[in-house]
Amino acid sequence: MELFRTSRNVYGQETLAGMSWDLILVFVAVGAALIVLHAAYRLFLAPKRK
Amino acid sequence: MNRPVSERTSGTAVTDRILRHALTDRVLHWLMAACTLILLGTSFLPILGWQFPWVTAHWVSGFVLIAAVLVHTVRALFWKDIRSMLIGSADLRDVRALARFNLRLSDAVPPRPGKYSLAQKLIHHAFTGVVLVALVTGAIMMAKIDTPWWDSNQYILSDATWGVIYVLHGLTALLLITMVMAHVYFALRPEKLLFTRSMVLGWITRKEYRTYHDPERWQVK
Repeated sequence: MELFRTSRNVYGQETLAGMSWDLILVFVAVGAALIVLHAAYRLFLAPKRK
Repeated sequence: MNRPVSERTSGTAVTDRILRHALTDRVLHWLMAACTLILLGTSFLPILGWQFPWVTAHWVSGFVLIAAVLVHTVRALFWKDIRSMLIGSADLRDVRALARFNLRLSDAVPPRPGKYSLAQKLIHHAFTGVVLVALVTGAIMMAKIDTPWWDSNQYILSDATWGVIYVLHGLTALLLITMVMAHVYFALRPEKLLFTRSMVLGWITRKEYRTYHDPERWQVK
């Protein structure tokens, strides 16, 4: 998986064109994992406040 | 029937309801939320294959977001109690108590926070940093498009500098996906719904105030 997109300018030099859009799914997955892990922790492991 | 309290100042208690967010702050919050969602939609939906003319909607909502952030910043600095959002030594002391309680090393319930918990302060500051970078880089990228006020000019920066601008803008957009997901998730959790309600209607009850806040750390007038 690439981290960056690149392109070539008029002089043929490789230049940064931005973040790789393959990363969209990675950031969505991180958000989903955070939600699932936190929900599971609160459901099964978190101590109850009296 | 109790009515919501006067909305002139935060933390005013006249009836059973305590104002947590004034109307202006609620409008700013939802305006910034709407702009952020439009910006994410107009940037990522075309990449995911939904083709539509997104450029105008993107930069216009970016302009509105810049204006909303500026108004919010001025309000926070000069009209609001900015100390309620700063992370102080008491918050750092709470971290230890929170960690010990959640790791079951102690039965002592962690201290109640002031107006905002440490988690709320951290997500606010994370959004502040990420959105500011997105707005500054987005504003610079405006030089490359025609607007009613200027014609596009892509030669104000070198290719290498443009590359850094694009990377920062894209990275902050990607971070916002995760942050918005987390923010919405926590806002919808049952034990946090009172805070979401206060961001819609403005108030919490006096019982909620006593249960979830330390009156010494958030003093209601």
